[in-house]
Amino acid sequence: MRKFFILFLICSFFSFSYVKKYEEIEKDEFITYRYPVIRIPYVEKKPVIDGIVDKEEWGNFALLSPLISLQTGKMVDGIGNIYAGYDNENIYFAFQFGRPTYAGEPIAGDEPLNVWADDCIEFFIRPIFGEKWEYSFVGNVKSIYEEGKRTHSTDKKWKIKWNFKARKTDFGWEGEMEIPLKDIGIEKIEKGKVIEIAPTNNQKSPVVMQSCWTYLRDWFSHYDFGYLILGDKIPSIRILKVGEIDKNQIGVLIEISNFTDKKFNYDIEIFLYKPLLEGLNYFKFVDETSNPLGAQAEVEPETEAKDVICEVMKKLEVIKEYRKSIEIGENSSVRIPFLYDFEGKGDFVIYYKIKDKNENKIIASSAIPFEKKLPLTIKIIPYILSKGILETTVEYSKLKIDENFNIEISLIDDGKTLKKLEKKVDIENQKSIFEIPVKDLIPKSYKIKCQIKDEDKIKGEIEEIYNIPPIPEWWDNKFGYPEVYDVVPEPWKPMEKKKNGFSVWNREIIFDEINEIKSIKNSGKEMLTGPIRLNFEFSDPFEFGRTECIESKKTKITYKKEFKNEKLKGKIILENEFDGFMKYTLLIEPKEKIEIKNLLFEIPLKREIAEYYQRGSVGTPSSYHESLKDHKDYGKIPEKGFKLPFVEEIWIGNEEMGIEYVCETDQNFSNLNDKEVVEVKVDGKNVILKINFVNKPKVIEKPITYQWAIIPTPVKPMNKEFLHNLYLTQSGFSIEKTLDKIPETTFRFIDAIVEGGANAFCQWAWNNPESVWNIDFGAPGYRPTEENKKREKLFREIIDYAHKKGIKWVIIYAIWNTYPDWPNLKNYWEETALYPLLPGFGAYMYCPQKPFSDWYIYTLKETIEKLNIDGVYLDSSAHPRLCTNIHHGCGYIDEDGKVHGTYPIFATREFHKRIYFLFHGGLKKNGLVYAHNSHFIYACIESFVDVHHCGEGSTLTRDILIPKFYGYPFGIPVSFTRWNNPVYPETRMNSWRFVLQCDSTIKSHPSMIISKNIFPEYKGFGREYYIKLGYDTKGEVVYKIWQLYKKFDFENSIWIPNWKIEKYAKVEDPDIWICMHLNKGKEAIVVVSSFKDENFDGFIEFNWKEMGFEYPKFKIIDWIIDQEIKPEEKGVKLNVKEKLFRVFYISKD
Amino acid sequence: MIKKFTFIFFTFILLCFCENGRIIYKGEGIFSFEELTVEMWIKFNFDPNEKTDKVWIPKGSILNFEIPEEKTIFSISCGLKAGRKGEEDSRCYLRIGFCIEGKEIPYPVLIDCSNFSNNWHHIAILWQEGKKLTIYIDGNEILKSSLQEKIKKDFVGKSKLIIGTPLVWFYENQIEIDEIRISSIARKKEELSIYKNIIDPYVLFYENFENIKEENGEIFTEPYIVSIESKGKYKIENGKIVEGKFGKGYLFSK
Repeated sequence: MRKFFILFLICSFFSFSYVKKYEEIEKDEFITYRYPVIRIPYVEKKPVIDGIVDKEEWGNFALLSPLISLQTGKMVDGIGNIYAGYDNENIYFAFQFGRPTYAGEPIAGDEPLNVWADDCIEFFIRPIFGEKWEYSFVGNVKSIYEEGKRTHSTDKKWKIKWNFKARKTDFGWEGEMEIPLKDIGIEKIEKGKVIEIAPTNNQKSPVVMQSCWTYLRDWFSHYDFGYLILGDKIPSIRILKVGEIDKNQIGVLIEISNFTDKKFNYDIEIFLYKPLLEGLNYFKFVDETSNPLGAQAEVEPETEAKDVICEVMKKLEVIKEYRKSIEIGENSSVRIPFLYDFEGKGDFVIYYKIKDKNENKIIASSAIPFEKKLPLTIKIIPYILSKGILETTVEYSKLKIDENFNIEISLIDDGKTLKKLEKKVDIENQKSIFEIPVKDLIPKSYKIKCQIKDEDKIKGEIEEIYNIPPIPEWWDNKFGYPEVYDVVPEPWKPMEKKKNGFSVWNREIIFDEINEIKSIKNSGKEMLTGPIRLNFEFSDPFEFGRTECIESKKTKITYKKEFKNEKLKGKIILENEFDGFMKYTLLIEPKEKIEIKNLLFEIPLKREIAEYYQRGSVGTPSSYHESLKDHKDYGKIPEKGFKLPFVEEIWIGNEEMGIEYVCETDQNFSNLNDKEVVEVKVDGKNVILKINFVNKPKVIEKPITYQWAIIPTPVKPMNKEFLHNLYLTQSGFSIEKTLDKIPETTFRFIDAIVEGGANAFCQWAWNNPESVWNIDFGAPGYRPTEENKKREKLFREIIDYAHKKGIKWVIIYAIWNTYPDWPNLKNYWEETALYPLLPGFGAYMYCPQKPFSDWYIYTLKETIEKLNIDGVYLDSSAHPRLCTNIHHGCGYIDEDGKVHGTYPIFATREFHKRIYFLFHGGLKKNGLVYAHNSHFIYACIESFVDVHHCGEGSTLTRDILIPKFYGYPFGIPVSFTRWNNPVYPETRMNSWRFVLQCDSTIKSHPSMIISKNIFPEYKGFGREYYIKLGYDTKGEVVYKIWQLYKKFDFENSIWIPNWKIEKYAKVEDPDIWICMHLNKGKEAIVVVSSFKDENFDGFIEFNWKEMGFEYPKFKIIDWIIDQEIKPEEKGVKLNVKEKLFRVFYISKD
Repeated sequence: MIKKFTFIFFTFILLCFCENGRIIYKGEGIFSFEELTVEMWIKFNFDPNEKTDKVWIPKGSILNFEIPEEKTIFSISCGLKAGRKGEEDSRCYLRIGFCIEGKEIPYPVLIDCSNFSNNWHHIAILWQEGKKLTIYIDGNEILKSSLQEKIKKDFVGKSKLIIGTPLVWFYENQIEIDEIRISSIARKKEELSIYKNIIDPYVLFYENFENIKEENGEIFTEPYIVSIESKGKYKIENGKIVEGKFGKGYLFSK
């Protein structure tokens, strides 16, 4: 007996009691305090099941009350929407589920039978009221779906044909469902038919969290499903917002949308309750109350709702109530805002009931417990790779705070606090930023909890789960570093250490007895008039140690010199690289407060070398946009010299050589006059470039570092192949939209461009289905998708064919952005981005500091291996963009708390070096790094490009030709980009007159070189059209220029620019320029350019003898119009149209 | 100098309190920063070809939606703006701006309306997903862009919709307006009120100035408002009821 009694107790303990449900809910309307009700409209127009929950499409469907967390029994934070409606054949649902901003992609497999294990919607439908089984409809974000019949387990053999589609969104994911009514046993539609449902967001990641329209006390609690009633053509009830309406109001906003042509009269009741018991779980309390005698007694399995709720109400205080009868007109809507002013935090329950007044039927009803939280927001940005931290910003502008409040942040693992940081609140900025160190933590989920406290009293708090991702495989890869292998890439030669210095290609650096650079010989010529001085002075004298060579490799030679006195120590490190780059690092470590009296750096150059200058951005403002206000200048160095504020770059030189100085930041500069930080002093035969790091005494007590660099130019031998024999055309290869084959026209296109003279092709990044390359603009590789695998295969086939046909270089457009949603980058993308964030093309501008460049190089390497490309088109990468991202190494905050951006020059250089090395010795040889940069040539960065591609939208003026557009003093071939586009100040034909004077050409488009005779289907004018136009502003000469260049023996010729032409040719008019490639006595290419606003008709004197030709034993052909020009003894009579040019080929008879 | 100062001071005071018109409606439930269409017919009472060398000369304030507690404002106004070449480049613009929680969203949208004749023009401003903006003028798509930041998706509580001049405004408001319609969805082109002018369940607010009443010397209007707590009459403060695009309209200046 005793055993039986104990057994009975045990069974009773585990038996539940329920609020009694009636199929006809009006029998006890208090049921709606426990189970939600919705009467859904009959809809005329069925939705399109495409996964897109369009607002208008679902506008006339019911929007159910928000989902309830099965863990907490309260309304979920974020989005949990379910829409419902039906017609004669189907019942339709749409859902929208939010996910935390830090969460990764929803877990979603491809196997339907495993979809229950994914982040999924599980929609339970019980078509027969009160039965102990239901149907389960499940789907994931990939639109993989299944169904089953559930009792205590799900029978997946039960099958029907239904429709499901879902998609990822920026808030989480959403989807649509269409279920045939007859297949769930509803053969005949009866208005008023009750179906019990439990639509559930079964979230598995980042943490397990289930939420449902109705509160399920356990997963198999069939009884707890809500009521879905098939209505007639009635208005749809839409619960738009519940809980926190804004920072100081709570309530609910209900919309009743009437898409019918009838009027309706509804009674509305809304109550706002405050539980009298702290921490009350409302639904659990209702369930417990339905069992008044407790588990130990024999109990009725179901208790009348009105009895239960009357008891429950004793524990709830009515804060506000609303009762109204309203009329909803035909084809219109009504919104009922029920708002209550409330500051602070607390738990509440909102209950609403909408009844049809005439029919006395419940249309919608529900009780929704929710929590009003104290208004803190938290944002977590990971800097795991760069710095091993989570930058956590807590914002409390909506909270009333006092300066004595403290803010505390903790990182918790399974209840154990691993890290804790604390500080006073920031009254001024209304937010606090913490750097939570996470370097030593294993990748998994942690809780981050933040509290604002007034002593021990919590005034605000917030928690968030954060998932620390594993370190990616691309991080810290060593691809592309020539130093790692100590291999000097082509065309440089290994560095040679000498007794008093070192040499690199074409330059020799000699130190004096105090180890300052006393000589830079460049192309055999001395550049300096005295030693380069680094002068610095402290309040007390100090001593230098001896200079040591601490590293001597083929790629790098490094020197170190230490200094000290009683109050400080320091060192100067000079790192020299194989391209002539010389980077100074000055580190000063005070032992106590000391004063730096001055710090300056001077380069004294010969006047004949220091003829021109170009310089970069001024100052270190707080955004890239601001830095563009004054970011470039060029010209001749005036006799009086000039002074500048801090600039990140300045180059001084002439048409043959020069020297560039760069400095990333003005942090720790101290100047008497901020406008005179950089000085270019002209002093007779000297031009002194002077950098005043400190000329106003500066007191320091902590270590500081100054870093800058110089590089004498040209940086490498001019690549003659790229200068004169690179015939590049730019466009895109096409494939079929189905991604399964290459159309025959693509092969014919390749044949046609080869026939047109091209030996290089640049594949652009188009976002269209026929594109063979990246629809992700600027990515260095394909995003890993099934479609892209197909593209990759076809692109490889096309590249192989192009190579076979004579295209030596196939290059791809491959840089613009970093990508927040790239699979192996998305957890770290913030570390790779330029700050402030600069959106573009659906992503964000990158910064080339280590996280981005590691990812980029890793991805590019894979692309090179898979596609066998020969190079890359780099768009605007060579010009360092100002960035304030302190955590990855940019930016700083000055003593006044102001944010400054800095110029990531060294990171940009390293980045380009790595790319260059991949194509020049690393993976491939003689590749093509084609760098589009419409600023000046940035020598220390573009040392690692093959072509400086400039001119986009630029005004081409002669006075800045040398410092801005001329490649010779830098050792880098230049090509131009110009299009016939209203944005440009002139047409391509006008531009040629300038471009040819730079010894350059303009990049072509296939339409300019393809013959329509050979490829008539080609959609473009074809070269015949342009050739016919001749010297016309609408014409185009690139094909003709290419033909001429292919014919000409550049190897044995000299280049004579206009400013050296006098010996060979003369013209009175200064607006007529002449330049020449001369193979003395054999052939010449002569270009006569007009910079006049009217036609020129005149005589050009030529010194035939000096050119090696014997008059009249030579021929002159105007190459563009195929016309012979009759020479005279002293020259030629010529006309040149305004702002155009003439091109002659002269050959010996 | 003193006379000049006095003149400027009193002009300033006058303009602050001048009789620019406005109607202030309760805003609860009629705005959502997730998806919306705002349409109206407007007519300039000034010459849009007027030139200026200033950065911005306001010529009219059309509509403001404000949530004062959150310092959030959405505004439509128009004015003259000098270009790069000063007065030579000066144009007339419609300006759509957002200020969220006290911070102005960078780069308010400026639509060139220098070619507006002094006739009625239909303006439709649509947005979706909290940041995608499309603007139609006279039924033609003029702009499609995305704001830099996603505006918080929210149904707002205490708020107000001001048609006409905001409470602080220092200029003459030289706009006439009619047929203001706010809808809860981003309308398709063929559903814009230039083509189809109906109340449907998506309409949150509709003001056509046809329901005008005078009481005790004051003029009231009773628009269609979806929010049941906001239904009723609203005072027309200053300005003038005039002939509108269809029936009556409202001129903000006297």
